[in-house]
Amino acid sequence: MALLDVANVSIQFGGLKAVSDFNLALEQGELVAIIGPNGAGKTTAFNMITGLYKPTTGDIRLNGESLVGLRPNEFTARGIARTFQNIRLFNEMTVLDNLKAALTLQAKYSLREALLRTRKFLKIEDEIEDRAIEILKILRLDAKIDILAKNLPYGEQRRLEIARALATNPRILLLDEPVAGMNPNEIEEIIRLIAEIRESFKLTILLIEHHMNVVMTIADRIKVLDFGQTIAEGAPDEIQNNPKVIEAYLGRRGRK
Amino acid sequence: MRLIKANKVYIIMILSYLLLETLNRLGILNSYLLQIIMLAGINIIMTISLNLVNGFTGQFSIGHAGFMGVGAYSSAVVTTVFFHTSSWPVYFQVPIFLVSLIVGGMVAGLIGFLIGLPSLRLKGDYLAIVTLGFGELLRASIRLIDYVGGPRGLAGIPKYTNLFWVFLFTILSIYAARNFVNSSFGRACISIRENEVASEAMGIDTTKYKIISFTFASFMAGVAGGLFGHLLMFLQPDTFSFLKSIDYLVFLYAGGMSSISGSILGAGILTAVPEFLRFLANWRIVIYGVLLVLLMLKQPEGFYGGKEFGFLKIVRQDKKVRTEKAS
Repeated sequence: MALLDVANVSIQFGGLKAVSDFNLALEQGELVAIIGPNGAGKTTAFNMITGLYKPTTGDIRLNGESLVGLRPNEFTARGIARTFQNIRLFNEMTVLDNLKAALTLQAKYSLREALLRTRKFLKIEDEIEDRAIEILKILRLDAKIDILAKNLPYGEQRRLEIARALATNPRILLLDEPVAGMNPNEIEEIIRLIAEIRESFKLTILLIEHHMNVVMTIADRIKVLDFGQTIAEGAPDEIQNNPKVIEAYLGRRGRK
Repeated sequence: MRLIKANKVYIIMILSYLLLETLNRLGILNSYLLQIIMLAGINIIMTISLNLVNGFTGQFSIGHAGFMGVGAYSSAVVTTVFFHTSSWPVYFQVPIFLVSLIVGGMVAGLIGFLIGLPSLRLKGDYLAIVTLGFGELLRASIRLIDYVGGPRGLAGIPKYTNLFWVFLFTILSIYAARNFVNSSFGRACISIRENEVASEAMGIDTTKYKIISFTFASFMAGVAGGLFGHLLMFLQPDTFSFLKSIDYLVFLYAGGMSSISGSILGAGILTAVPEFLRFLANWRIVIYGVLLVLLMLKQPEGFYGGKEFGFLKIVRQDKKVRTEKAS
């Protein structure tokens, strides 16, 4: 059985069918990329898989358990974490506190214990801080611990988004355009980081990306969307030569 | 010497209390000044609790005086109507007073919870209107309860609130707020303010944390109300109208959002200033208004926005330890 099974999912906004009959079976450890022109419904599909939108029809199952109708935080608690295309950090919080906020699920103490700062509270807080620093180290942000998130350079903000998602201890990580707006050096670093965290956290990754080099390098499998429909699916080299994909991106050759 | 340094803050607190108390006992502090100091303390508790909702959690509530009213009445009912404490032996009176404060806090907290449940789904100005509505609803409901005097008010409340209790509860509130903010509860609330969508995506049950902060703030407002009733010895429902809620908003903004120190300064200074401007007679409120406008224009972040006094900061591990861990 697949780890994540998205079956015949569709969503309609008013008269617009943004995504129709989306199917996806993610196996443990896979890295799958979703590509497609702007407005193809990639982020909408992401929003359904993370609970932000409720699909009009279809089912989303994680290890056989249906998630449709749950709130986004419940999706995360069950092991699906994400980053955002338009960065959504906690700007006025420090890098460390961004991570600690994402570790809230691990803070298993009561309000009373927090107000009295009991020994148990202090112990858990220490564990949270250690865990946060550990993750920041992997994402090479440990030197920036006390900086406000909004004051980080762009590339580091993207990395902090990934770090924060990892802090929720996910089994599946969804990355929405992780290299958008980055320079070639930064892109190379992110590719390396994704490979590294995939290995060390035993992650299954689903990513949206426009940058073809990145997709072709790291994806095991690619899914192509256009106007909400899946138009192709397969290994990177199959996709590269698929005439339907070329048409979606470049348009049909005109006739003389 | 080291012991003194480590406990500097506590020593300063105790000394400043002793100083005020001595001045009071010697009769140098007249009852008028004493009253202002005690009101300032109560206003500090109110402003800090409002800060938890409006400042730290980023929800716009403008009905906070309603919870103060509920707390004031509940607490006064316990001592005055229910127990008639003034006819009891003296050593029973204070414990009952303390219990009544907790009762006031709990009733206000319960009502805060019930109001928060449906309202906190709304955001921004919509939430503001709903909290305004509920605040007025609470005040108007008290007017209808004959048991507590209805619109005539509740008289004959014994004066239990003194400098010591105000001082103690103000310090307790400051520490409670500090510990709340510096825990996963506080971080969850701040993350909601910063970006609610991302907060949810990090597994945070945003509704739950909004309700926790709202209920906790209502509880504190209820306790402050209890102190207020036993200070004025008379309660009237219209005291807790939305105008009073606006006062607390002003204290909050003038002090600085999301700063406990700011709330202390804002409520403390703005409670005192209009009183010290009394020599201006009719011009008093005009000057007060002008001062507020100037403050907001010259220093929009308030007296102490975004900063905290040293003793309100919590440094869990010093930087050296952290860097060692990081490297």
